[in-house]
Amino acid sequence: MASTRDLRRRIRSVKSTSQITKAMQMVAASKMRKAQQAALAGRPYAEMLNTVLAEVTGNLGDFHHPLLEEHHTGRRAVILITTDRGLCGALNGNMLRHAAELDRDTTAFICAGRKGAQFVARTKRQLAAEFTYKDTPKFDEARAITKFAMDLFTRGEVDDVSVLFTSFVSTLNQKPELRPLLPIGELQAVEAGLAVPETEAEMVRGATEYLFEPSADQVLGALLPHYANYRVYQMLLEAKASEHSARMVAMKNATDNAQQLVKDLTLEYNKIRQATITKELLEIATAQMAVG
Amino acid sequence: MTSNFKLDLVTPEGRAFSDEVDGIVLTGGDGEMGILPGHEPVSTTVLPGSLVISKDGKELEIIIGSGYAEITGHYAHILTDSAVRADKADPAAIADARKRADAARAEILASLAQAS
Repeated sequence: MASTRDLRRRIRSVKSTSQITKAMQMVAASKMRKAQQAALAGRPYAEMLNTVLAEVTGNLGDFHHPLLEEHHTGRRAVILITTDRGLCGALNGNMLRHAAELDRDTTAFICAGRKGAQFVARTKRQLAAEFTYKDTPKFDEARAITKFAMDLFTRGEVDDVSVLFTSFVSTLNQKPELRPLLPIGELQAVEAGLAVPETEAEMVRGATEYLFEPSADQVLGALLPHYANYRVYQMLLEAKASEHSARMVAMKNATDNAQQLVKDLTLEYNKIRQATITKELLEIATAQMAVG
Repeated sequence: MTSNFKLDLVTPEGRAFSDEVDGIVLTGGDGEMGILPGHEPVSTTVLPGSLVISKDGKELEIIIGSGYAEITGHYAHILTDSAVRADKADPAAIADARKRADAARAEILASLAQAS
């Protein structure tokens, strides 16, 4: 039977672990809120981009753009957005299972986040580039990733670029998702991708005749990279929100488990303590009887 | 005709500036443009560089990234990658933003020259 001293030590250690997991849970909760706010802050930009794209596409001539072209090389690139750190439940595991299903020979990975890069190195797949992004993703970070992917695509090295990331369904539910990024498909799909409800302001704007400077084609050409950038940025934010909520839930479970363990251990400790006291009393009583 | 118009400067990280202004100067796809109230409706690409806003006789400079502007007589909407206010940020950040804007503008102009 474990001695009381051993038990006391274990209780202490489990308690301090639960304090750490509790703290991590709080931190993750606040970071998750921040990522969600950042995603909301981008909404005016998305709305405007959407309106502009709608307007410009109405004024197009014969439009060609490197980002719309199709290539036939049989190779593809996947931007893999994972976390840098673990302790976030099954989040990375679920996503990497999807990544493992992709064809090993024709897929090159562009990794954002250390876990993805480790996976690619471990399974000896092709790594095209590795990027880092901070806890609160900056637009610049998204731009760096997108620029690399666009360069790869416009040089004709890959047929398409998709993004594998964890989409944020709710705090308790995150789903790995593979979304195509390049070539940018039908322009109607471009609008739907942003999924912004129509507003009254849009109606007013739609009524104005614009002078496009230099031309509608060039305006759209300049806007497409912004569109791709913005999508990657939104996906980074969503992946971050998912990471933090997954971590929050994982840490909450860990804290609950630790507290249950402390309870069980304390019960056992008290039992042993009482058993020892009873034993001592018995000994004293027996000794007295023997003497008396 | 009103003497001022509404300027909205939107970045993916939030609304950087939103107020009534007297006039703005920005670098458009075809060179510098000054915009005053009642400007003819125009839609233009915006090159990285400085955006100068005049309001109540004062001038405010914001260093912006590449983007797009939509202008009518009573409002201007500017869509851009980044915006650093020259009066709010610390000097190092401003210098950095200016340097990046200049580099990005040179790159865009070079690629345009190549294309034509």
